[in-house]
Amino acid sequence: MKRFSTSKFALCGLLSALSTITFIIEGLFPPLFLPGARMGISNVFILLSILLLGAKYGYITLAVKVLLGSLLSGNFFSAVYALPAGILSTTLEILLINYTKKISLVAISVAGAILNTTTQNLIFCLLTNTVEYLSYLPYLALVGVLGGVTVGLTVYLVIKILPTKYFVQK
Amino acid sequence: MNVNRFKNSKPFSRWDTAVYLVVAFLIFLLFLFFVIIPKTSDSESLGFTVTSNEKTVVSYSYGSKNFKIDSDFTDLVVINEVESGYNLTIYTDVDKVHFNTLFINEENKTVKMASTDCRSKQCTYLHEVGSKGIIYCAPRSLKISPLSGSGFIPPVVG
Repeated sequence: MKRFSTSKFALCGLLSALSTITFIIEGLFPPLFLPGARMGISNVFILLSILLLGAKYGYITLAVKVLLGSLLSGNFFSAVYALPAGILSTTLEILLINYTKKISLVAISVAGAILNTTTQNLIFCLLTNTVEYLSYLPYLALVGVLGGVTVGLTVYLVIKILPTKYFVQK
Repeated sequence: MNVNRFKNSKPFSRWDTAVYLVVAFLIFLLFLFFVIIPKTSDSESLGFTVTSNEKTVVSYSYGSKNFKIDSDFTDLVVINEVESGYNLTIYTDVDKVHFNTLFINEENKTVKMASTDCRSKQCTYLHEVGSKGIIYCAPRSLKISPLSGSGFIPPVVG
């Protein structure tokens, strides 16, 4: 039995590249409302990877985005807190997608985004011993809601518009 | 496939309310514990200290015109007097290529990260440090904290 299919891997590579490029471009802009806050558009491709290809490809896309994106943007330290936060939020999204049949894509994206931003802030504060930055948590959670809605709606529209024949078959 | 489920659904559903209620409650708790409840000290701003990997690089008391620089960093710290304060540049390498520049405002008794040569420049967007708050430069492990005062400081939003 094939564990990885060639067509899925090719699509995963494309989504990973798009996610990485978007991550780097987002980093070139000033932060959104708060230091360290981003819209998280690169998560569109991670969520698409989960939906179109499955959980393990979602993790691959996440890992490529965080590791390669951090390396290419010249701030590899950010991978230390971005990767665990990304793994947690991706896991939450996968669980919500697979085990809840009534919740919409936007709500799943919002839940994942909030977990991502708050976890990143928590890990950063613990690693750098700067507990003062915990006061950013509620504001980052609000930015997470905004980012989650944007990402969720974007992925929903992509899924809605894309013809089924372009989905990689299992 | 999961994708077909979402393809045939609407962007919002009634069950989302449960998720948003949990999110709203979580945000309320975060505001309560990290913004509303913490007692912030209103002590006067006395000065600041800059540390690198827990080692003090330079410390300064406002109005003293006397910078206490650690002997290991004497060649790496440059101070220029400007209008209403000082520009304090800390180089993080011997060749003096990588730097962080602080602006010390003597009138307001605050210090802010004015410029740096790294790509992200996240620390330059952080709130100035007076009697409370903190500025942290992650790539260089530089921390600027007040000599007096403590407590959380709400971020400058916008």
